[in-house]
Amino acid sequence: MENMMKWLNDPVVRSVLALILAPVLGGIIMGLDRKITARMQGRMGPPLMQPFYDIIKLMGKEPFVLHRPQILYTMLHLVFMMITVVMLVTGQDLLMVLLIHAFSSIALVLGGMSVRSPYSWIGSQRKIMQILAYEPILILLILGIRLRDGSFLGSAVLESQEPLIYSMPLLFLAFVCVLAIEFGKSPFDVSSSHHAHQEIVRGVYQEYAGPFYCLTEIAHFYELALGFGLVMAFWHTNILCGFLLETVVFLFLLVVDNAFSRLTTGWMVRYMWTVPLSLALANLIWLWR
Amino acid sequence: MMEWSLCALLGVPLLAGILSWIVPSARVRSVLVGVAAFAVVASGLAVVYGSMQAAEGIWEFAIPAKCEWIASVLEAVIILVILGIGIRTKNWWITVFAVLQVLLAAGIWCLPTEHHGDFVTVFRVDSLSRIMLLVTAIVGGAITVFSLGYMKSHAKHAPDTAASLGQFYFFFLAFLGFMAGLVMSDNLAAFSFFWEATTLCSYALIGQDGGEARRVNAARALLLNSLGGVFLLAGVYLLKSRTGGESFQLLLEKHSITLLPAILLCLAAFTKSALFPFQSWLLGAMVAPTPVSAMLHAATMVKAGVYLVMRLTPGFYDERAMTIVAFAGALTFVGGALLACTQSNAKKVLAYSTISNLGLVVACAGINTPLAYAAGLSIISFHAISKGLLFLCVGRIEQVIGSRDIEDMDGMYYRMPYTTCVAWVGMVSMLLPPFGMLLSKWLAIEATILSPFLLIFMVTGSALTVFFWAKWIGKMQNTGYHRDVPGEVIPSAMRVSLGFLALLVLVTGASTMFIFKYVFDPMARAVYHRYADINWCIFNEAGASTVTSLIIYGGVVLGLIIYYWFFWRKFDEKNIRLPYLCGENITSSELKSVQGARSYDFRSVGGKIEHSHFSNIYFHGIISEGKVTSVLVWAAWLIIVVLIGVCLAK
Amino acid sequence: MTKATAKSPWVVHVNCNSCNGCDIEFLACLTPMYDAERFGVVHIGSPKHADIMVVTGSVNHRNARVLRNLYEQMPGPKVVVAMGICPATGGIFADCYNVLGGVDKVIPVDVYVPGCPPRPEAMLDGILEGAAILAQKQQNTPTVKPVMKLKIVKPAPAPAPAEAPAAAGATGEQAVAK
Repeated sequence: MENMMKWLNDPVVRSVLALILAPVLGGIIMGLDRKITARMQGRMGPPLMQPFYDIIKLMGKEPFVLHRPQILYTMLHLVFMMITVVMLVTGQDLLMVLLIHAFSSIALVLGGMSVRSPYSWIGSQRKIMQILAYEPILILLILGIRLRDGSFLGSAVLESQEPLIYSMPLLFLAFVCVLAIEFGKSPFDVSSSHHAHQEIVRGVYQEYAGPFYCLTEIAHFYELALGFGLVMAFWHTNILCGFLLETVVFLFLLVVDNAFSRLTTGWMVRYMWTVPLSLALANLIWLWR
Repeated sequence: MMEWSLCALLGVPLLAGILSWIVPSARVRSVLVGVAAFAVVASGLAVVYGSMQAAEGIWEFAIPAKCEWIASVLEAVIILVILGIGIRTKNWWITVFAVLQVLLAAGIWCLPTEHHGDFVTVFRVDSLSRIMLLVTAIVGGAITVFSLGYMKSHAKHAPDTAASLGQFYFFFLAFLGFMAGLVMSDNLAAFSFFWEATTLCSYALIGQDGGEARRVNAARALLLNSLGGVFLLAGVYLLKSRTGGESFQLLLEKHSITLLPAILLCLAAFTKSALFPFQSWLLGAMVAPTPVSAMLHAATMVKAGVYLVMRLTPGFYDERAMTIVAFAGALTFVGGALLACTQSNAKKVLAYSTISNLGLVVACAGINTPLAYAAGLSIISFHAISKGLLFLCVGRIEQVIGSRDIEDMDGMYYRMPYTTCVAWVGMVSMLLPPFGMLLSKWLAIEATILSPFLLIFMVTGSALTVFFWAKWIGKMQNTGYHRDVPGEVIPSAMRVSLGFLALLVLVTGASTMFIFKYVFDPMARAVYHRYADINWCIFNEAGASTVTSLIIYGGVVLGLIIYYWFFWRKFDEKNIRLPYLCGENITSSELKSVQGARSYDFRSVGGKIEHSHFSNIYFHGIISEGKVTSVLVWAAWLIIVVLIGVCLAK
Repeated sequence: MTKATAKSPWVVHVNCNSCNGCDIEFLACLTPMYDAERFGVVHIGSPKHADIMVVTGSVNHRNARVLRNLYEQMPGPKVVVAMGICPATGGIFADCYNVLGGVDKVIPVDVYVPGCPPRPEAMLDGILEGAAILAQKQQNTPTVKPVMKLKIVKPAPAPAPAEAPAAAGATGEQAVAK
């Protein structure tokens, strides 16, 4: 047992494990999401493993592209998302992790903008607006952690004895809004939505087909795992409480997703730069001591 | 040996400039300019190398005390020239400022000097000077080579009012020499001579093509910069009256009584670096030919201002005034980024982003911790390379497509592949994690943690920066599929210098972490070593992140290999499909058969083929440039008033 | 992979001048009552992500080009389901001057679901049948050119307008109207 723990502490082992487990976790979260959404609407819903069937199927499709740079950007999107995960589990500088994560999203946007497709273009523009909307709050979150623990390193968070949620509840609320944007939940699902066929078709993802769409989906799984991993980090001292917190956030996001309709991009930026941003700032002032 | 390198660095550009003004033959002139560019780079490197060999890495050049008047006289000459320009163009504000400068210079002259020896140090090359010197010499040299190709075709289309090419090269090359002198000066008399000289060169180069718009903008640049000159000389006057000498060493040593002079010098730096509220001259200066914009208004001259701030602030550690300076910088950082988001004119975007980055450097200098200082240094150097490159690319694109509007830049990859790829490298270097600009921004944000209210500026500013770069990159690389891209016809001077700068961006970008660790880190430590109570812990933490870059490189290289192996190699033309346009798109065969058809065309009513148009978000109707600018200018004036108030109250 | 393909048919829905009857009924398949998603069916907007193309309406000269374009943009393996009688034969519009009379005049069709409109159960059945064919094709694609061995049922060559539903009903073996 002790040997096992020692082995787990090795950064290489940890990153390899994370790289394998994260998409699996993300896929299960996605499956749960679809299942519970269906139940909320009184439907039976797809099987839990449906996201995996989807990506396996997508791998076997014909690789349609518009030109080569598009594929490059898809790869960059995935690779940078993976780097984010690796850096997070090896306890690197959180702010750098965040910036790399931001570039990963930017790579997706650039891929969407590199092709001459109006729908993809509109989706990409909205995606940048999304990044613009949530980036400051994420940075403030990291700064809040720095203020509390005195270090930017991810490992410092795990070493501290007090759960983050005690000292930064307001930042946590702001972070939930960010999660809603990142996971494309209503009312923030402006850039690509399963429900917006008439408006933007599939937004940023529009021009990816077959295996390349599969790559973006896997990256999205990573993103899901990353987001919920961070939620877990808010209450890392007690696994049970962390799990509870996660469930609450998850169900809350689903309810909001089903209860709200999609709103405009301008509204999103205005909202994010007022309510969650001031929440985050208020929390920071309190942390300043 | 060092003395000779110094002479070459200052003298060769001036000499070559004068010769190229006199020489009528275009060919001889080109050779002269090329040789001068090479000489600047070589002698710059020689000075850098030589000074590193000197004791403690600081090399000083002293002249006998009785020759000190030379610098003052040269300065007076330049001010008189500016006065002459003011009177001749009947611009009374310039005249008033020039008269003020004359009075101040005379005042400085009359003040008694305390000599501590027979020699006066004029040039002092330390590590900060070395960084600036490298930037000036290398980027400046590359831009000069570019201008050889650019100005040839520029001259063909130039209006009749344009001044001769000889005159252009005189000011251009002379500027290089002055700039090198500026960053090496220790004596403030010499410093202000070089300062005024660069102002004058900028005036002449903005007005190069003649005509009303250029005249107005050149006059505005001269106006604001001579206001800066007034601040500078006022600062020097106060310094000399309080300490009896005029050198940076004195200013920093006796920091208990020299705060006000230092702040006045900072205000001068604000005008030179076009921080709010003095930003308008830099935007106007974009009417100049592109090499001028690249060299003076992005890579070197505006850097003189932030250089001055960086030079001063470490001496005033723990001063409240410096925090306010940081606010002025942070305001500019956000304001510049916000306005850059609303522009579709490529040169204006670059100008605003330059202003924004300069603001960030000033903010870093104002935060005044080792980490912030290192961040500021790295922004200065990486920004100069990337921005110089981008300006050159925009100039080249404008020459070919006849427009500098970002919206006209789609499909550039097919029209001019080389320039587009180079520009792509430049723009991506502003966003991509292991590259210098992003890393410096990261450090800057980490450093800001110590000064609470700056945070909100930093955070929003960095989000906005990402926004406008992503928009532009997207538009630039938006293209259809082309099996064969025709090679680009580009003059070899341009090709070489663009390629060189792009390579420089890539190499420095790839080794950013190491540059930071082995160059900027020791520098910042050396500068701040005398303050015992400084907070070092944050610095160690950021320095320990070489692992980060290794992970990034590992990931990216692995990703690229997979990409090449699985996708690039197996790429098949039959997998190419046209974009989704609700099925109304034209077919691939029509794309080949119909003249002028594009891949994003669709058939509208009656089978007519039409283009689909899409454009970026520019916040039209939400943010108006004029209103935001006026708000920012008022806020910036307020900050300046508070700044002076704080100094006077002390 | 074959199994996964059968379990995850993503559907794009193309309306080639249909009367909207079939469209409304088809969208009703996603409701709690029938819930197509339990079979992994996702109603997706873009042909580039879709596996199954559901066509409603008798195709006319003008939108045949659109239909062909969309079909070309679907990455293979792909299946076309003709939903309703109009896409099968032209239905009651078969005699119109502008109607081509059947999707199979433009693109190869794999499954016909007759009815005007077909019952939702029939629609679901048709899509699942399509998914099975999809899996079949998936098995064959990598090396062999897709040979559509199974379930290719051509309608009667030129059905008389009055007998059209009957003719299709006789030949379209997938029409399992429960």
